[in-house]
Amino acid sequence: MSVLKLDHLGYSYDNKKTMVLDGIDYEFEKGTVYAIVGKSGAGKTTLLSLLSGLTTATSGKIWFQDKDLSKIDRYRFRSRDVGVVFQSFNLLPHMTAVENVVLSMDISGKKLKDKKKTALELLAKVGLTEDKAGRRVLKLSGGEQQRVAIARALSYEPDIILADEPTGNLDMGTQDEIIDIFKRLAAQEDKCVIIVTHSPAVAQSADAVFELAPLRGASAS
Amino acid sequence: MYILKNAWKSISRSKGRNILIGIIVVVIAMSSCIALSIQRAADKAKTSGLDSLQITAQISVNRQAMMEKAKNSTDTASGGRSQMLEAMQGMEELSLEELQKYAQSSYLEGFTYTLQSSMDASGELEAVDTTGGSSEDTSSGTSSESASGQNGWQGFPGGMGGGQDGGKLSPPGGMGSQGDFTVTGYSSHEAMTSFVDGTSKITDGTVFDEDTSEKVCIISEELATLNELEVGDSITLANPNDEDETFAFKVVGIYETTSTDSGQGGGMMRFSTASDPANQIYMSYNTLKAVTDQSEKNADSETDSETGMVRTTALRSQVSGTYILKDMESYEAFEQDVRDMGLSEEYTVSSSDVTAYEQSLLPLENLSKFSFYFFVIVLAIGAVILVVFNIFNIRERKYEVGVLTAIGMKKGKVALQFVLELFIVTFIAILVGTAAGAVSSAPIANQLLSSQVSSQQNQTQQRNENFGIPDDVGQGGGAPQAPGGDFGDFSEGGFGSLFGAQVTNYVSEINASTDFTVVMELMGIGVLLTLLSSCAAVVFILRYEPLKILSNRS
Repeated sequence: MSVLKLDHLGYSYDNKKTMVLDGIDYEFEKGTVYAIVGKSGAGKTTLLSLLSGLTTATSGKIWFQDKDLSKIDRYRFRSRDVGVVFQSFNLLPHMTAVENVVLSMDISGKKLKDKKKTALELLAKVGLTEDKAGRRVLKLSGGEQQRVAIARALSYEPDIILADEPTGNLDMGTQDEIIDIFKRLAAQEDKCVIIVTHSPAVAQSADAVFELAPLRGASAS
Repeated sequence: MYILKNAWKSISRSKGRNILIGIIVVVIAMSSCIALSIQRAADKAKTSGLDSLQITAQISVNRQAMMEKAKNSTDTASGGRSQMLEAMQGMEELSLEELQKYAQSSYLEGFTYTLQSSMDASGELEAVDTTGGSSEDTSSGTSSESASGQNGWQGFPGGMGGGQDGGKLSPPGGMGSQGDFTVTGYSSHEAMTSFVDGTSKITDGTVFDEDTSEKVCIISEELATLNELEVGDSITLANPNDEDETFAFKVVGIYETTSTDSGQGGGMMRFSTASDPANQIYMSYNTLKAVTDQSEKNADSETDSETGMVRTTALRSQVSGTYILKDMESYEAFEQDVRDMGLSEEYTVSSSDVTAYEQSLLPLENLSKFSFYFFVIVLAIGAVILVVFNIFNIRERKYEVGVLTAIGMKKGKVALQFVLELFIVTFIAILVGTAAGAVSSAPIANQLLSSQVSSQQNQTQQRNENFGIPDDVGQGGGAPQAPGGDFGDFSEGGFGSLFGAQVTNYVSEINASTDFTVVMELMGIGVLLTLLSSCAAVVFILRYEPLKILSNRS
């Protein structure tokens, strides 16, 4: 059974005049790493916003475990069922790395044991030392912030992981490590991992590639 | 729970901002605390003062209304005067029967009445004279009947309108003269307030019987000494309007008095021997009534063809009733009651106790009013500052709202966190402000009150100066030097206060300590301020779309 299903999905920023996405059908399964590729302006980030429930489709539907995503509590969906690694991280800069992770766990409302310890373990898993984990996000480098964002997305054990250019700020070595983590999550924990990427290497290591064809003129994706 | 934790963390992260909010709220809380404490103290002082006040009330002609009328018509100088005289003529003090009718009111604790007249010395009797040269003038004035002009207004013993009794009005202006003595007839011993409160005391003999109609009286020690009188001796008094008409009284008691006030009819203090406390002769109501009735029988009267006024040589007298009431409530109820019984609007129910008390509260009321406005202004300004501050704050934290909602925190919870943050800061600040206010409210309140009192006193003094009343004369409670004009005719006992000449003992100390109610009120204000100022924040948060914030940011 697919965990996310796009059903004739369409999206427009200006009331259907210019469609960014139009008539897209696709199914995302558990235990698989997907790479969404496409040129700039193809609507990759828009699709990610739709999948993460930050916005709703203009036409068509997204089904989450056979439920219409536009009809369910999307705050709950975002806080429990989907972990998003934003392109610009969207961390709270005045909080420490570990506080950012724990906050997500708090918001999810899931009964998670020893949140701080779990957060530190997760941060260690993405390559952040305890010392760095205790620093304010503001004081961390771009790559380190990206790792915090990934750790945050994983912290409350969502079924779906969405990542927008998760390796954009990482060196090749770390990039591989992160991709390994995503693959392990899919293979071992049966998660559905969806990665938006420009990187052919990342796309190659994915189990499936979903290419978006551009519908509008090129602009920043 | 994590919302509270987040709120607390957020507060400790942005110390500068929260300290600023805290200072604003501390100032608001402190000012409000002082203002509320003052108001409560003022209210308490007012009610507790009234509780312990035994109220005596009088029904009298509404002179104030008449004064207004007269003032309005003073533009046409002489016309104003005659109009006023006309108005005065049309007004009658209530007769004893009418006074007694109103005494039926169930709100009363008691009713006493007095008859007052002014009589001259006759035979060898001499009045105590401490007025120096003016005594000469007065006595000559008294013997020359029908004074006019300047002497005319001096000639009223109890004030304008002159004596009336049993509904008969002696015409004012140029009628009747001031005697050497003020003779007062009391309906009961209870009405003799100076004896009741101990300012006067019988030193020889006894007081007259309440109901007696015999010609017996009590006189002051000074008068007795001056005339070498003893208990059992007789004195002869004459009608100032008709020196041939004399009345003999037997002295049954001699009293000493510590009063410097002339009591009723003190309007002419220092200008007339009659208002000297030593020249007060007391007897029973019945005795004096018999005398005035007799005088009326003997009197000649004529009607002035020009003015239509009736001139009579009868001994003038004035009856007044004193209604004794338990408290302010019964006083108000009594007023309503007598109106229902048919007392017309031309008469007022007044109480010198209440007036004096209200007068004494004037600075306190001013302070209370001032503190109320101050409180409202502080609150309004504080609220505006906090609202603006919060709007800026929330705009600054827009990104945070975007991130929190993007990772699934509901907008309501975000708003709650923000409100909580503000509430915690406000709560702590209110505690600090209240503590500071509680410590400083009592001394500040008394400081403010004393400046109010002194400004009130300055105002009174200034007014006295405008009326040419020197301070020391003002102490006497009258307005003797009220310059000849129209107002002069009105000066009588209590009416002197119109000129502010009476010295009022202002309430100059209150206990403005902060009590539990004030603290609760402040907490209420705190909650209200928090809610009000965070309303803006909540509205902003609810309007934000996470994606919009985040995409704008990136």
